[in-house]
Amino acid sequence: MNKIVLFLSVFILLGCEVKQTAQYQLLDTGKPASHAIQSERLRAVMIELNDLMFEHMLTEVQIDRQRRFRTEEIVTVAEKLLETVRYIPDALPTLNLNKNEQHIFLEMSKKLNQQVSLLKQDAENNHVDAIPKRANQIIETCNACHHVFRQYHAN
Amino acid sequence: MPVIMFLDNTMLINLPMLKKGSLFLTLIVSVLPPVYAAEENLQQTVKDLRSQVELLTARLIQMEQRLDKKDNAASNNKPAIKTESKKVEVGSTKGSYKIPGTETSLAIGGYVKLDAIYNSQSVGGNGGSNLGDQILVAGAIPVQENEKEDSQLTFHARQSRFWLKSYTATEWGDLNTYLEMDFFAFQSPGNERVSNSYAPRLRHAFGSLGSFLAGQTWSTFMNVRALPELNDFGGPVGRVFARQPQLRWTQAMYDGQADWMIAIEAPESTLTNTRGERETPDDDQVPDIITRLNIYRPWGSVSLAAMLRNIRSDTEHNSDAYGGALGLSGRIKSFDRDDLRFMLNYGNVLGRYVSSNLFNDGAINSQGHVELFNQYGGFVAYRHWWHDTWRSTIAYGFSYADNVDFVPDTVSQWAQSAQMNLLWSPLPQTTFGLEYSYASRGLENNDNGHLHRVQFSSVFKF
Repeated sequence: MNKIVLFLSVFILLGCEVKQTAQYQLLDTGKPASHAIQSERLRAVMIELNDLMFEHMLTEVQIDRQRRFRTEEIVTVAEKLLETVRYIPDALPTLNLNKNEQHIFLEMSKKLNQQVSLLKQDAENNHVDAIPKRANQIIETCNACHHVFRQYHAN
Repeated sequence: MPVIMFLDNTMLINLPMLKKGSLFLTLIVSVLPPVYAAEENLQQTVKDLRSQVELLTARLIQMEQRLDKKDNAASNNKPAIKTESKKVEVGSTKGSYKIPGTETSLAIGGYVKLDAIYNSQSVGGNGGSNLGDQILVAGAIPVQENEKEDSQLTFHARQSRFWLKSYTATEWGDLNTYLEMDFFAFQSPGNERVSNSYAPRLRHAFGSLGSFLAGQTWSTFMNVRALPELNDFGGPVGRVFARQPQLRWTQAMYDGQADWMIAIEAPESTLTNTRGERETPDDDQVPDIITRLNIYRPWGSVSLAAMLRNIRSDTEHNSDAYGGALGLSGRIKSFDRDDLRFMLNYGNVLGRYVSSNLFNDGAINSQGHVELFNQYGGFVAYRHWWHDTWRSTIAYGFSYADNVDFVPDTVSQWAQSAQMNLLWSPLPQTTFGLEYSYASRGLENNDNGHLHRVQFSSVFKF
């Protein structure tokens, strides 16, 4: 009886250990966390940009100046995002995906890279009207990828 | 199915329609003796067809030549029309388009705003529109019983506005021009009986090139970013608020983390005479000299401003006095999207710059000498976001004047206001809001008046 209890205890402990190791592997490079931080900063800047719509006392020239500060910040955020996004494929070995899933993961990573590049381009050209759409596309891609692959990994 | 066509004892095979399965059968059929017998006829037909094609080609060339002659004749009589048109490009600022063939981005915009206001006290009067009932003017809060009426409702859309701006990037820096108008013209003949016809008025008209600005816009002494988001157009009490013609230089510093402004602005002295009435002698000879330092940091922005003014009157005889004022204001980020805004000011020439000219810049005694007196005031406001589309602002402001002894005790000594609202923007272009305001004003003789106001506003931006 004692042996059975001991065996079960070791089994449960090992099981927990395996699970913890797997979770750790997902965050191992730190790169996904880094791109998430930049995405969060992008979201914050987008909110600031959006809040300028409620400024009734500033002249439009002053608001344009504020917008330019924000777009300059978006360029910086996009550059940092691009640096981190290119490391996303490095997370592939930790996900245990089949070939088809690997292909989808890499395509999404590639798509994110393209979207961030376009965002940077729009911000550099001060195309303020195009920025919210680009930012939303990036957030959608991030969310879609996290939904599919984080969920997959958790399973 | 292979298609085999017999025409005048000739046979044509439509090769593209052959299918693999019938290819063998077709070949057998094609080598049958009648095919050999028809060979001569086939060659003759081809010859005939060729001659027909040659004839048709010749006729076609003739027709084309005739058409060319007609076109040439027409083009000799008419000037050439350019068919090439340039595309309209997206401009370099939000919502703008480039003027074709230039690097200038042009945009128009504005908003339509309706205010529906209930006042517990009205400045009264018959037939006309009273500005004090439409926006918070601290000096118009009724105090004496004979100057007020209870409960009044007013609707207006005078805050609606439109603007036109241009932007051009040049080797000298950004070239901006800006024009803005609304419908708060004081000389407006508007009444509320039939048409509510309010005249437009100039708010802003300025141009700037790089660091240099010239034209009419917000006074450099005023930090617009510190103003709270209120439905009311006039509050809170204690705010610095002035638009005037000026020349200004703005020097950016520390990689955009700060800038320093210096300006000369249009002077205008307002004085309290010995009867307690306002005088605007219009005898000014020295511009208002203003400087301001702005600091921009991730946690918000802060401004420190200083002003030197010459208050002057020639009414009785030449008299003037120099005075100064200081202002500290800012907008500090708080939790999440919330922010705290404030403005504090002190000096002996604040006068017309604060609380819609609640106090005058100075006083003029019976001998015609100008005397200055200390004033101070300010406000603090907090904006909280309940949700992405819902937000509230709560604000409190005050102003106080240490009036000179020779003015009557019926002049204003202090005023204060408190406001809170709930605003909803289902779309960034629209805001609907309900606001409650309380304001009061006290005189030197300790009489005071109170105002309660409930205001609904809707804003539609374009």
